[in-house]
Amino acid sequence: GEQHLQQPTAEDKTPKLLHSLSKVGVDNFTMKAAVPGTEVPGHKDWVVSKFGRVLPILQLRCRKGNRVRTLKYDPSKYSHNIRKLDKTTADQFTPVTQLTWALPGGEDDISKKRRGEFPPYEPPRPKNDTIQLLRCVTLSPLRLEPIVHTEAHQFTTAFERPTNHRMAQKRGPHLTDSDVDSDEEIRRLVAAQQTSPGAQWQGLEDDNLEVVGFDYLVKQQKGNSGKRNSQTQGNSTETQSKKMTVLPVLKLPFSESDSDEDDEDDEDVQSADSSSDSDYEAMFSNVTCLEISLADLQRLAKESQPTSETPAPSILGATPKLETNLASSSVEQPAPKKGTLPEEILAAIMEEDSSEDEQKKKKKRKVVMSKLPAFQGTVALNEGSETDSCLKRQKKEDEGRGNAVRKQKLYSDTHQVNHRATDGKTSRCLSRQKLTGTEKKTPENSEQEEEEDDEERKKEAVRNMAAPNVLNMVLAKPAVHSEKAGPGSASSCDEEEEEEDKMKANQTVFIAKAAAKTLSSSCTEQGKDKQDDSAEDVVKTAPPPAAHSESSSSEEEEQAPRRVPLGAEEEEKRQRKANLRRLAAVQQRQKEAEEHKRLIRGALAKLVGAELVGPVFVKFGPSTLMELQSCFGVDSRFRMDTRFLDDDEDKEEESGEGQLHRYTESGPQTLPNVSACDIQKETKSVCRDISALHYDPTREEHAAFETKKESKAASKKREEVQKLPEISKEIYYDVSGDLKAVFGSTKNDVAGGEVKKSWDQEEKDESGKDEEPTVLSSLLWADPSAEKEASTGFKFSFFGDGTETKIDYKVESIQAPKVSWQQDPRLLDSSSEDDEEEQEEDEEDGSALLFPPSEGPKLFCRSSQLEEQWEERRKELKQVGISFQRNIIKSGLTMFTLSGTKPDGSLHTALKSVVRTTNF
Amino acid sequence: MRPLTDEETKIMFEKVSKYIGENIRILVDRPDGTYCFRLHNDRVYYISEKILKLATNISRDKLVSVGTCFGKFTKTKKFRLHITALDFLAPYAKFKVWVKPGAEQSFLYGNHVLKSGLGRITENTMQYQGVVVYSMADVPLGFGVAAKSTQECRRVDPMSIVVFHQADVGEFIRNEDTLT
Repeated sequence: GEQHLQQPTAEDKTPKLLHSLSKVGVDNFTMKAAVPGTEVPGHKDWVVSKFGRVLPILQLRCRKGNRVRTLKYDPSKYSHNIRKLDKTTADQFTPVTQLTWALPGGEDDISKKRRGEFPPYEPPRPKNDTIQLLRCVTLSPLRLEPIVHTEAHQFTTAFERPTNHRMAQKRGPHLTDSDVDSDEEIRRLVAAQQTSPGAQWQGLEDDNLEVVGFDYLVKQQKGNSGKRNSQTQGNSTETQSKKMTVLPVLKLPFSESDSDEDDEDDEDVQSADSSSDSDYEAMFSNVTCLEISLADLQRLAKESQPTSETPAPSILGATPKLETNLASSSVEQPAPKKGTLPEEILAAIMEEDSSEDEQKKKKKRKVVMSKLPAFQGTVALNEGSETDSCLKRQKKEDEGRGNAVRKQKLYSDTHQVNHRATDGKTSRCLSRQKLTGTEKKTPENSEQEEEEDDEERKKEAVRNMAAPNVLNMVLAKPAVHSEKAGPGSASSCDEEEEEEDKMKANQTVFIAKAAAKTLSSSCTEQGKDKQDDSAEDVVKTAPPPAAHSESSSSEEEEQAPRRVPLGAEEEEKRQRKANLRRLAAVQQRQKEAEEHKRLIRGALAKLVGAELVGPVFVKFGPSTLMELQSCFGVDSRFRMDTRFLDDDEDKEEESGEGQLHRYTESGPQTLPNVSACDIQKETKSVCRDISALHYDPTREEHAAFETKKESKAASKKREEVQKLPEISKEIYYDVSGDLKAVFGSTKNDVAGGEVKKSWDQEEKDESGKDEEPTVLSSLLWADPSAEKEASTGFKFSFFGDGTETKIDYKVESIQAPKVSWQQDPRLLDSSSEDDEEEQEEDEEDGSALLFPPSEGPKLFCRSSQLEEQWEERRKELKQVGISFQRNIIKSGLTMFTLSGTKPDGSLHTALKSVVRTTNF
Repeated sequence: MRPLTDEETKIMFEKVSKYIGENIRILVDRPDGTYCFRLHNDRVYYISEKILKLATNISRDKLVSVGTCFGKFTKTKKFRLHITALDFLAPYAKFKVWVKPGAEQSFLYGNHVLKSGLGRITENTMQYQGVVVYSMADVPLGFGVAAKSTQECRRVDPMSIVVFHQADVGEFIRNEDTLT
């Protein structure tokens, strides 16, 4: 509806109204202390609304259709609607101009954009600007302008990055659903990424990112930086690469997990243990084997003897400097000589240890050497093997082997061990060794540091520090160290050992158990001998450590605290003894390590079937024996050897495996990228897949399977071939000439038909007739060539062996039939038989007449053309037949009188003439 | 189940050798028995001979899975590595990438690895080289393809992708129904 505001205050009336209102008490349209809804006195249509405001009652004219109504709008009744307005006005009065669009912080991008003020478009800046420019600043402080610029744009880049990040994150799963792995896809992805603004980040290199070498072991120490790794791994590449290949494949029997889970298991163990554990593992993962044979040790001991016999040990007596500075002397000694004295070696070890500790201290790592956990594998093995009865034997064998096999330079090895154990601090250590005099710290310093570092060492030191002589301690420590290093290093190289063993086993022919026993026994003897030697040596030099009992170390520990400060000489002696004892302890450790290895080997040999059968494969076909063994697993009761090998087996399987060979042989061809890969090896151990064995007719090898089938078929064919001529022998149809001619001639010659058959043929003819229907039928079904023959005119050859007397069915005139039924056929002579033959011929004709008209011709041939002819012939023959029979009866009567006489040609001709005259 | 054709073998070996290089022969030429690859339902299975023999007793249509699925051939005849192959490939992997703990989850949800999440990388990793992704605790997490070479990785922006996601162990949960 249309609303009209009826403002009662016209311009001229306004002052009047105001005046009148003010009279009543309304000031500025407000009337205080008036109840809303009360009318303003003296003013109609003016009411007091809320808050004392005086408002007019509006009268709104509203048109609805034709009617015009007036609505009253009383503001007092709607007073609640304006409450808020009142409030705002009451609290703070804001001018209308400031009501809108004046928001605080109006210089923001957002507020500007709200206002509709957009900045001019600028192409997005690459993110690297900031960093690049920061670099610029550091390089050339003059270029200040761009920095300001970038700061201004940091705002935008900050926005860009998260979006980009999100894009990247979103892209992932989407694309993985499709074929991301195809190179094109990935390249496309990269291209897309590179075009994105954040791609060309040429910023500073991140120090967070570690770059590790190829041979970085997964189990390795985590804190390793890439550089140091590369250094150390340069040396130990061989061992690690070996490990890389061996680790996953090797199945340690005591770990129930798969070979593939080895890593994970180890990982679990690692995570479960403390950080020292990981350190320990890492330390020994890089280490090459410390292989100190007993012989080496003995040699060392012997060499040390002459010096030890003198009251002053070599260390003290070697250099005069020692007098002044004992500590430095001990350190200096190994460097110039690089000698083989055990003390030197031990001192060197010690020295490196200290340097290591220094470095460790720098890194604030806490590696408690003495608290290193035992090698778990060997521990487990040890536990398992204690049940083993042949523990001692193995032990001895180990010793023997250790003597025989390992002869490496002790010195270099120890150094290597230490270098690698210290996590690639080789360069430093080496440099230290070379520059012993100048650069080295005094052992006292290092000692102090060590003491600070690990408490265990401190205890040891305290024990050994009974005398103020530092040397004692210096010497004492290496023993401890080597003791610890012994098993550790051994354990670390266990895998290598195993590999070596395997290699050996593969190379050498496997010796049976008995042989092995003998060998072991011999080894044991050797070992004993050597052991004795060494024992003697040790006894000569120092009685107490000579005992090879396991309690030697404990003894040492017990004895250590008892020491009291003594004189210098005594102290030296004591030192020497202690050294020897330690040497013995080292030997002991070595033995134990060997034993461990032996145990591992033994356990592996027991539980891993491949290990056992391995050597045999080389000789007697690897795959088969492996298969055989694999059937029984590691069951000792079923141990496969050569007796179980069947020579024929391979040959038999060759044909079936051909397909598989194809598959495996195709390996190298299908591996273009893999350079060193020699898939040819696959062919050695070919997987026999029964499902893949099927007859392939295209393959020549499978022809062997075909021979039997072919022979059968051939024999069948042969039989058929043989059968066919037999059939033809019995019955032979030679149908020559026209049937019309044939049958036509019959009419003419019926009377005077001459019998050309011999007597014996006749007889056969009789029997042949019986067969004739079947033969005919067979002829009908037989090949069409027979039909052809039938159409050309047919000849019957009954029982014509080879000669095949062909009878042309010229229908001849028949003699007057003799009464053959009155005569015994056996008594008949050939001449009379001829007559009979003729009669039979007639009968045949008659029988032909007796055939149903449609069947008759079919018996001889199928062609439909003949049917018409046949019909004609039939009619004629009928007549002929009837007349013939009639004549026969007639002539029969006449002939009857002439019976007993020979039929001759005159009679025949007479008969013929009779027939002719009667019929035609 | 059937042996792979030459073409299929080639495609698969090429793919696998991206990750483990020549170590691929270790997979086939194992001292603990003979292992071979078989194709079944477009999937390539890594089977020990023993299992293979047993599996021949099961008809083709009834056989769901045998051995370990290494991956599958796509419709476009490309080979796609499945996460199930990780256990076999991780020990032999030549190039590895370690992701920081913060980025682990992201990777395990199927996302690419960003530079910011990259903790460690094998040196001399080339672009598009197949890598095995590890956590910093050396747990293998999955496969990836290096989007950047090692040298590039040092320099790139923290938000740029350095490893394209290929497969991760999260798929064991996400694709539980399709993994065989």
